[in-house]
Amino acid sequence: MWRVAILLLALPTSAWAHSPIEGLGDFFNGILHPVFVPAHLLLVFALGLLIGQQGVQANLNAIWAYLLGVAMGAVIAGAGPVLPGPMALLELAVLVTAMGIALLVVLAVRLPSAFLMLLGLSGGVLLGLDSVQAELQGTARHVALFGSAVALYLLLLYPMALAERFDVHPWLRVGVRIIGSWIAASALLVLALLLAPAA
Amino acid sequence: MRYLLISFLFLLSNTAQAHAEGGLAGGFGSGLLHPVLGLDHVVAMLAVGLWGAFLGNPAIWLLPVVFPLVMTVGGVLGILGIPIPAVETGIALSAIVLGLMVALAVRPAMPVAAMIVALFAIFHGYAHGTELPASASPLAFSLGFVISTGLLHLLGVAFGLLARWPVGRGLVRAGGGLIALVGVAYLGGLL
Repeated sequence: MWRVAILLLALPTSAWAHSPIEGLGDFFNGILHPVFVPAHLLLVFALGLLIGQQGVQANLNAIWAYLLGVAMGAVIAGAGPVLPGPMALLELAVLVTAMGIALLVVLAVRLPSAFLMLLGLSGGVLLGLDSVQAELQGTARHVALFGSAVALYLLLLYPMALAERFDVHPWLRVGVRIIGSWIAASALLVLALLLAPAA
Repeated sequence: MRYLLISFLFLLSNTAQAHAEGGLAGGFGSGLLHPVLGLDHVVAMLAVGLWGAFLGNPAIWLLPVVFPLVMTVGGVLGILGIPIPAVETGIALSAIVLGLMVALAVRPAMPVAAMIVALFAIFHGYAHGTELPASASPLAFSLGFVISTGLLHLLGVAFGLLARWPVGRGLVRAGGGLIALVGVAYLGGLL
């Protein structure tokens, strides 16, 4: 009997994005969640690039607004039920926001600090709301959401630091704008794909 | 016991992934490889970068920014199933026209250069866009092919920067001629 048990344990299984990964704790599952959801990566990278491009020191409030937004979104998501309809709308909203912010990176125009704060807050709320994992319940869901919030904050730092470090030479500034155009292009294509059946 | 061990080892093998777009990584990998596996795409992307570098500022950075954005318009048409006539011909023509622009050192006004590049970007985007719905992870696929396209542009830009020196200028123009020839070969059905 134990031999059968060993054989069953050896059976391969697959890991799926946007769902808990077996073998990891809830916190680390949450940490990895934004990494496995490309739409989240696009939005975080676009926002990070924009804040870095506009100047981190002058826009610290936008980072705080983003953190507040993620926390608000995660708290709301943790408290309510996970419904397929609103989750699909959230995915659309994340992609539209990512595309809009990425286009602002491409345009590279000076933006008011308050507007950047608003973008940080709305982007954070969307990411927090969309970080909920339907398969998890109760404490496990809250722990995973906390992990996702930590990861969403850490992920913002990389593109932000990159864009600020690149703000020293015209060539490097162009590089940031090119990355912005890639993000906008990817988001637009997938938006078209999501909306295609209704078109 | 020996049979048990053999059975155990067989079961340890993971699911077959060959030629399949398995999940997120498969979608990104497939997207990354899609432009690289078609020589007609590769040469046209290189030509965009080459021409941008040849034209100098602002074309050197404007064309690689404009191309992926306009390419998405073609991609959207492909996803929505709106037919565009002679897509493959358009892609082959893009290699010929852009290659000739470099080979003949044509320097049109910036808006004209951007319009030419944008026109051909639609054909390339359409070809990628029709592949998107079949992808395991469309967003990862699109991100892969957009990044791959951009990196090919940058490769063209890097080679095109040789045009700053007289010897390099000849090399860049010869590169443009070669790209045009590849386009002719595709148009004639030789490749």
